[in-house]
Amino acid sequence: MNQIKSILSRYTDAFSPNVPWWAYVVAAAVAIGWAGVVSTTWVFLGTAAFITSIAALGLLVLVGWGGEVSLAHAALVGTAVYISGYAMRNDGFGWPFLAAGLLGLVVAVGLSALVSLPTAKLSGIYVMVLTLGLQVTIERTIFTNSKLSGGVESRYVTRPRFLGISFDSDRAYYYLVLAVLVLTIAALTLFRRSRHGRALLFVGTDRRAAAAMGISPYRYKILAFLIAGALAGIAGALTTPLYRSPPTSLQYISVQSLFLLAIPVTAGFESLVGVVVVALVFTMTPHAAASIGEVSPLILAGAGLTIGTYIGPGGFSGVLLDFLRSKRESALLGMAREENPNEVDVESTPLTGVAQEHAR
Amino acid sequence: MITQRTSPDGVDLRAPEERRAEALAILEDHLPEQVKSGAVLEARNVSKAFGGLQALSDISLQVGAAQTTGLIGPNGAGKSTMFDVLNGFTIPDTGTVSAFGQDVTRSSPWVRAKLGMSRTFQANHIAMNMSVEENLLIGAHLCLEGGLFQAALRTPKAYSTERSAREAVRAVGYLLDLEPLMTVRAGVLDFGSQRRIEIGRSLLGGARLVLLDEATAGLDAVEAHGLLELVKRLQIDLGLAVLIIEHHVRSVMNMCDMIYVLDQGTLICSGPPSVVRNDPQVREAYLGEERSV
Repeated sequence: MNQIKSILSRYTDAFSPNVPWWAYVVAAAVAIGWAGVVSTTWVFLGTAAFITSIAALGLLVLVGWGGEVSLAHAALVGTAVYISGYAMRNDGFGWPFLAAGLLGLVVAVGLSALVSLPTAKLSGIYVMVLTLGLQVTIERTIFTNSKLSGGVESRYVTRPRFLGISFDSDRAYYYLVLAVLVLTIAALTLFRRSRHGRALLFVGTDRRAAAAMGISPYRYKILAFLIAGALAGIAGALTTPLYRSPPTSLQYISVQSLFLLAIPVTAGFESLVGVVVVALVFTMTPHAAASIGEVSPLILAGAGLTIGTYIGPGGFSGVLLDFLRSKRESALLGMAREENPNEVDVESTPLTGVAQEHAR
Repeated sequence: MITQRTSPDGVDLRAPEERRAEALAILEDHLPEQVKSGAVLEARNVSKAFGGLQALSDISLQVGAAQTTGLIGPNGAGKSTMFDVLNGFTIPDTGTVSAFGQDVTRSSPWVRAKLGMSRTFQANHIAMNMSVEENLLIGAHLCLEGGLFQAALRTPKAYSTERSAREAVRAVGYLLDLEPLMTVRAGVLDFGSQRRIEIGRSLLGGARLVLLDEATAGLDAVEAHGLLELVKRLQIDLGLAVLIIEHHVRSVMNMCDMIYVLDQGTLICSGPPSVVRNDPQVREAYLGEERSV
């Protein structure tokens, strides 16, 4: 029992001190209960939003933590969709879901790694142009390959089945994707609080200072691309079974890369859950507002990019977190002013000349 | 382990001297063995030009073990360029740099950091959105173990080094008056506290040599004095080698064992404070007038 407690104590700081415990309980209850109380259309939309969240979390790592940018993220997701889909299909390799998904993931990571090598030494506009170039190249090669995308013919993909559990129904598949999303958030949270997560964040914040602290900026920028590629791969592998056939490549063209980028920019780079919330809003609002009028997800994304950029790196979640932590921080600052054990007596220390020098 | 005699509301009741001694002991355990004698850093005949501008001409300097060495000069003298050459951000056109007996002329800053060289910058270079503790932990990056998965999954070995590093971070927090602020974001603190974070971070990476680039820039007289006092005390207590760029000549005279004076990219004087203070060339070049520094 003590051993279990000791192991669990290693992970307690994974929970933010700024978020009350009941917020986690409410979030879990809503996520689990959602599929039980809404129609299958909304269950499907929830699943699609979760998959989009996984892809967007990759951009949060790359842009928010690594200080890089990618305009090829949709292409990476699309590549994983078509490669893993082809590997799953009976007219393709006919592989099981996990093996096919792994293939899609490996290809997405490989492409991301390829981009990362030159971008690690480039900056800003050059990285944007390079990644946009990759996006267009993938659109004109992989997406136009009818063998991979299925062309005009209808290709069917079965949903996975593990350990005797079938994920064929929309509700069951929703829970599978939710589990993958929760694992992704948990893994990213633990990574973020590890030495490598801190190093990546610091490289994204201040490359020179990171280098002076013994952290290779190149290594961590490459790592950010690899993580983003892996999450694009996972999102892609989960997509084909959702639609039960390869989706149209219009979902993965260049403007969709901006759509994905808009999610972490709107949510802010501090909160993983914020990314999920914004992905849910961007995915569900057009359907919720259908009776009033047409709301394109791209309009939401455009507004999100504009407002998110205006608010700053914290985004909407940063505004909320600032509110939550301001009280705690004010109390600690007040306490620090009261006690200052190493305060120097300016008049009696051997460096009194310093004070006089500064005073002049 | 910091042993605490605490009041019911969690306040440590021990005397400051007792806590300071304990914090220093923890930090000494965390740091590698300090070099006791000789030179820890040596630049020989370093020159660097940017286009037509000769930023450094044939500069040689040494930083002695367990000493505070000053690098002074008027604006544009080449001090920061020299720091960049010593730290690895700039490769010199000619000349060599060696640290701890190894030639590091063409080594990257992170390779030099692994040898025990760390630095601070003129403006604050800290992560404003991270807590004080996390900023300090960044400094301990090189002392932590565990690859990507071990560190994220917190395997016993990785977790054990992380725990030791957090203890060293708390010790540095105490020594630099940052202890009550560990969970506060660096961005909400005053400039002086942010400077202390940067100095603390530079210590935690296993430093044997710390380069301080205008540590007191932007601070008022009392804060500057307090900060330099803290630096000097830590330098003596831990036996560190410190190279400091400082605009306030009297501060340098008071705290340094050896001083190098640059003017327009050339070394015009070097020696202990008593020699530099009375050098007519220094008075002329640095102050632009005949008066004692």
